[in-house]
Amino acid sequence: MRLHPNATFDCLLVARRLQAQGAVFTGPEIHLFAYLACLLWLYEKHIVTDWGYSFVGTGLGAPYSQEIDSALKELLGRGLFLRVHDRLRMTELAERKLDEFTNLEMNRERAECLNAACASIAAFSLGMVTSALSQEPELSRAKALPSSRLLLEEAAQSQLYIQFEALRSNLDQPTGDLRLPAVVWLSALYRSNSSTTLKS
Amino acid sequence: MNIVDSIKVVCRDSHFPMAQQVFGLAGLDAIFRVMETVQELYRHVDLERISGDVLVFKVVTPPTNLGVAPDVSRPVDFASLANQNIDSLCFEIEADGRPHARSLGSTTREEIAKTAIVYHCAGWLEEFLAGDRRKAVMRLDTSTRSQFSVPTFGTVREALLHFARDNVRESTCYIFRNIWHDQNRLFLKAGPESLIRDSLTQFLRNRLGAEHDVLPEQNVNEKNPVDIRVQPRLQNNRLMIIEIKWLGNSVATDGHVTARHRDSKAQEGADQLAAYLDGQRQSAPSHVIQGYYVIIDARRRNLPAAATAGATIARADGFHYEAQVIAFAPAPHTTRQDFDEPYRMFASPVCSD
Repeated sequence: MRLHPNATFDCLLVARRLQAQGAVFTGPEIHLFAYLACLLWLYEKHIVTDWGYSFVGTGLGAPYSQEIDSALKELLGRGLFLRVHDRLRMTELAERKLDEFTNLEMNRERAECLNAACASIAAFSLGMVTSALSQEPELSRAKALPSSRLLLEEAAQSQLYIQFEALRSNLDQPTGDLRLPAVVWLSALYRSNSSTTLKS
Repeated sequence: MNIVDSIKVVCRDSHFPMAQQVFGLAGLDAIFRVMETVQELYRHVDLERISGDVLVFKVVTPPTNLGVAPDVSRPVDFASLANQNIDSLCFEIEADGRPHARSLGSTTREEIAKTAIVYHCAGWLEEFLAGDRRKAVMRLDTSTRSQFSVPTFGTVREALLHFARDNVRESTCYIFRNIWHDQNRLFLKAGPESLIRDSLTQFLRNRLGAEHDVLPEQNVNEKNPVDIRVQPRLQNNRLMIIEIKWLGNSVATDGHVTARHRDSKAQEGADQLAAYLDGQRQSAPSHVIQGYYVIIDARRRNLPAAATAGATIARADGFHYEAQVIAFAPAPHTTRQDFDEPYRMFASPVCSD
């Protein structure tokens, strides 16, 4: 089976960042951070189809990509990832492959998005990132529906762009570094969820 | 608060933008490195064991007094601090990206902050300093002492006690509050199990998620799935199983009662968990397994036969069962070490008096 180049690169890069934090990682975590990176790609005013693959939202409010899932299976099958009980670990071979891919100019901008997404775990636990992201407009809508639905279709992006515009206008001195909008947005999403809770 | 308003508040009040505003991109790099180091520190050292202050800083603009002797100290291994009783801690993140112990003498944290990003924690106060500015860390999780120690809650036992107090007692969790049929919290919706499980799963993931896998509805035998399984990532021979039951009256959307769960239901759950634990011991003999039994107690006295709109209850009836202990026979928690004493969590009603 041919590896999807974008999904494969994303799996490898997110895996390295998560592994640096906790030695092992899970498939759902790769889907989660790849999706957050894709949202940051939109924040950077790129178009969603240029991300290279799509996501659906599950009824639990989690993102899922068929391409990421296939890439994970291929990486396992080719020995680049190892299964450790119900978790995954990168091998040295995967590290070398990632170094090769990272040097490619075509991956520079998506690497910035992926690195910024993964940097958020310096500020929050993985669980908090999951909870916060489930409040973003697309996943939040997916949760309300009984079946999985395609995320980030053009017509559904308006809510996201309102929030991104608010981020841009409130973050003075923009530097182009995506870590700042990522952690500010996740904090705001998490807070809005908590304040909903407190209103009861 | 809507998300756009929330974004404004976070931009104004949180420490993230401050680092960039004061020191530019280098400040942003430094604050992320400081946060990573603080997280790593709290993974190894329980904040409860630190009686004094914690200071972690990274210099952004090198100070001008270049006459200072070059640093020859070795980086600190936080794991070596795990079992010590600690007064205060101070670390500088050096150019190698690793923490080095520092003694500040008479230098204040405000003086250090002139050229550095400084994290300071004292008791329940956490703050960042940069230049002549300071911001308290926005506390997103109010039940923990540090925003950066969220994942290192001691044990499932401790987390469950917090869940009872913070989420169940007043139905404050936005998932949990959906279990109620009525605003006064007298009747449960029919089949509230999945909502209770989702609420507890989210709570545990927020607190234990970095070091534990929290997995809802796991099959442990051919009959019934267990509600939640918790497994520490770094100790693969440990397994924690959580069984959940509820007591009270549940009703359908038209208000007719669909189930009345009382003490016998609580006993059923205890027997079920004991059987799960026996099954697990046979199938995974090398695992150290502990069972936790959570009972959501929504019993009310003198409830009407059906739920009617606007139904109310007097305090004496609403809280009648609050202190009533359930007598288990058999009582597995008294006879076996792998079964914690059941966690009965009373979910209070809104009363008319």
